[in-house]
Amino acid sequence: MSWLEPARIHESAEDRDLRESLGQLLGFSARSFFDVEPTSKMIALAEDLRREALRRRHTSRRKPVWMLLAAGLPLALAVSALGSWGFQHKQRADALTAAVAQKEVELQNMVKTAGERQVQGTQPTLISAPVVSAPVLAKNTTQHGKVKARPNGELVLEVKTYQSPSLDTQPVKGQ
Amino acid sequence: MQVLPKPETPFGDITQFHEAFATLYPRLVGYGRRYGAGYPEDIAQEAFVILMQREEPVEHPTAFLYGTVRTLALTERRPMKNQNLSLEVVLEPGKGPEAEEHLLHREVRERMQTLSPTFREALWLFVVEGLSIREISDILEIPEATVKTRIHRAKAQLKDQLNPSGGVHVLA
Repeated sequence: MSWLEPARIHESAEDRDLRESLGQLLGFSARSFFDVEPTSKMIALAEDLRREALRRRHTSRRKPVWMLLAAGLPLALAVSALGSWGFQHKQRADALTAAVAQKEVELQNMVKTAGERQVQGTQPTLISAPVVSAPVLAKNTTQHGKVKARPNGELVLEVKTYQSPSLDTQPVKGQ
Repeated sequence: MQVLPKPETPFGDITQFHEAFATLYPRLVGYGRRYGAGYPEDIAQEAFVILMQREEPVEHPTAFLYGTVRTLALTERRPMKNQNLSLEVVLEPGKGPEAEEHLLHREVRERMQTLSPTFREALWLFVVEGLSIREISDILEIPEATVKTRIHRAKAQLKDQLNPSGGVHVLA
């Protein structure tokens, strides 16, 4: 038959032998099923089916590409708008974070420089403070306590030990 | 490079399609009936329409038809669009699928019934329907090697039935 498919025409000899041996096992006389002459009724039915297939092929047209694109356009626009909005917000947040970090650094620098200035401002007064001589000091301190001056100029302050009366004795009842 | 013209039908020109239809249609009806389809004629017709409707070429049209009939019969889906195209009035007495099955010996049918359904399916398509291994693999959606294995195992079971006392096993 002229319509037979290559898959069957080019069947290997091994497969043909296998089919023949199986046919013999089954007692089945292998006859050609593919030599059927089409009757007029069969041809009419075949034509009906072919026309039906053509009709379906023409009626069930695929939707054009532009229709699919048009249907997907709003969704694509919404997605892109959301994306750009999110991107802008992210950039703004990044800029704000960077500004805050820079401000913090500036503040730290300002605190540091202010501290250094304060230290530098107090040091000259300490350095330029007049050295009080021992006699003057002795003279000034005679009013408050005894001050002894050693020959080498060192000052010796008398230390008064403080004694709490409540800690020395403790009244015990019954003695 | 010469481009071959696209054939009018999956089987070639109109005449070749008529020949293919006359050959395959009764066999497809019988195949659908074997799967317990209530309306095997409608299913076979629907399979032809689906095949002809396709714009992309089908590599194995026969396998495609058998596979479609099998699927439609298994899903018990009755095609509603083609009810006016039944072949009940077209089939001539003695040429229907029942008559064709009667041509098989009762002994053959009994022997095949003893096989497991998996092996029986492959054996039926290979021997009785005369389809190639490749077509059967397309229909059953299994590899060609599996089809061959099933056929060889079916053959071994048949040999065991014929020679129950022993003998050389075909796969031994």
